[in-house]
Amino acid sequence: MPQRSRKAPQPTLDEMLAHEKRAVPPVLAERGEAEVPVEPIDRRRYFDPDFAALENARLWPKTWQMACRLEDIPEVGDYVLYDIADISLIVVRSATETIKAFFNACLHRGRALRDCDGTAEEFRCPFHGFTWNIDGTCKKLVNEWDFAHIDKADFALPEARVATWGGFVFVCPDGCKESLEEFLGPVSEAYETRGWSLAERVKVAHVQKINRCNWKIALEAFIESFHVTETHASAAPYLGDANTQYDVWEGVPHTRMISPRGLASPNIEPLSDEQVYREGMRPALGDAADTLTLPETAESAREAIGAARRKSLVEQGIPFAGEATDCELIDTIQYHVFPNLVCWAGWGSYLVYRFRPLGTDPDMSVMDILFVAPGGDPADVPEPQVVGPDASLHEAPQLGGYCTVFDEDSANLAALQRGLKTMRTRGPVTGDYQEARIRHFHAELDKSLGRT
Amino acid sequence: MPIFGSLMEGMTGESETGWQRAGVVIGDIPATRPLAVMVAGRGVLLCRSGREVFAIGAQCPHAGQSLAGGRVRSGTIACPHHGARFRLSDGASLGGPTRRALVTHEVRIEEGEVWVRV
Repeated sequence: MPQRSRKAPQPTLDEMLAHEKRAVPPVLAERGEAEVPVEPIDRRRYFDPDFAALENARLWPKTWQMACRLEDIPEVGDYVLYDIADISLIVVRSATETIKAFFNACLHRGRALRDCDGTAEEFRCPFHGFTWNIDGTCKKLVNEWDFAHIDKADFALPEARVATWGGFVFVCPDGCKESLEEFLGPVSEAYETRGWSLAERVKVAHVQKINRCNWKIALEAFIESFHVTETHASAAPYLGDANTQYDVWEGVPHTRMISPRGLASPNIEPLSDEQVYREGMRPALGDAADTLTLPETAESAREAIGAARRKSLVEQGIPFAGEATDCELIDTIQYHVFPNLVCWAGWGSYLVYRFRPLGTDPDMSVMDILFVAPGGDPADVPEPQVVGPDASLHEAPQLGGYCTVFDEDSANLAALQRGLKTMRTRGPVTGDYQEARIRHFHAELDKSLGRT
Repeated sequence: MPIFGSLMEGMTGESETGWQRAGVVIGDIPATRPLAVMVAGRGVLLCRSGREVFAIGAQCPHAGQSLAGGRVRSGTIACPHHGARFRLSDGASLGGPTRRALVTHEVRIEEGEVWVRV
């Protein structure tokens, strides 16, 4: 079960929160300790075309999923294409306060109405010119005399269900049992914490990394901190990977982890507080961190790093930063919104990830990496930059220090896909606690696929 | 110095190098929409992307329709008719029903005035 063993390294998140000098938001005191059976994950789920076909038939058409940000389509007529497996949707601002999602196919012969993102006053098919208004109603039948059997009033573009949360546009292609609000449940409530609302933030960076792996492999590499000591060795001196809290709630498809910073990984040789402080400040200061001394006002490296982050954010005029806890300012507070969205919370980072299959090939996927930050300019929203499967994330310098981190992660992904195919055991075995989110994700996936 | 009309083309010193006044200043160009002007008898669209100004041909190379109603975003313009998209800096097709590039013209700014080389 996802309950930390008493043999697990100290301190726990609870103990760290007890040292906070500011009021701890109730959301940080919540715990999710649902039981998640420890069983190997069937490795075929990652590469079997039949399993991918099942996902394409039962998961993506029937699940709420993030299609874009509201600021991606700020003006009436602006649209983005949201492609998932073999579904393509035109997500369009059809009126000032109305977003619609149309299946991207001409009702005449089926040509995709749009090939890329853009702006439209109407959707006119490049094949014969059949045209729809941006609210989906039919505007023009070409050679109408030859289509007496078509009732123009009924010839509207079919729509997917649309709802918004946190500045995101969600779609459910063929309809969902629940409203988006019901689906998000405790995640939506968590982001009501003062200063956390993602609706108040703006997309300031967007990169799409193509990976030679199944979408679930990429997702799973980003929802546990267990891999930090080995994959991101330079972070181990200031990131308490094995001190991470993982939350899995009964009956909730979404999960959370909180990975503390400002203490060294228990997996490496112990460091002094001053060494941890210097390593923790290194990503921001570079070699200038070598001469830092631990401030006398701080009881720990964690408190000192939190104070530095708080000071910087307050100087930037970021709302609520002055009253935020160290946990909110420097830790990885990260929610996985089933099935494929990962959002950070607080101010530790402004990252958002989305993982999708690339077309219908189970061996390929695309990972969207977004920064959704306070103080962004909604009039200057970047479009996605695609980084190829064999390219470095350093091609996208807007990701700053994360370029190296993501390259380190990417190096594992294609090798995982290869390894899982040649593996001769049933599949991956996972840590009882530290990888419980992954098993819970698979259990929820099975529910969506009707396999339980 | 001619601003509009092909009759004057080739009759000024500027036309030897092809540089022509567009007759507008940067501030006249909307942030997200092109501004249609005539330069030496040619229809030209002026587009802004941040502080940069670009001049492009007025017709989409896909079906020859006007790009004047297109939306300018992040250094690109999208055709409002069939959705073809082009990079403003070099006219390259970025997607949509054509691979053909858009006509582009050099631009220079002098004391806020826009000059286009046609």
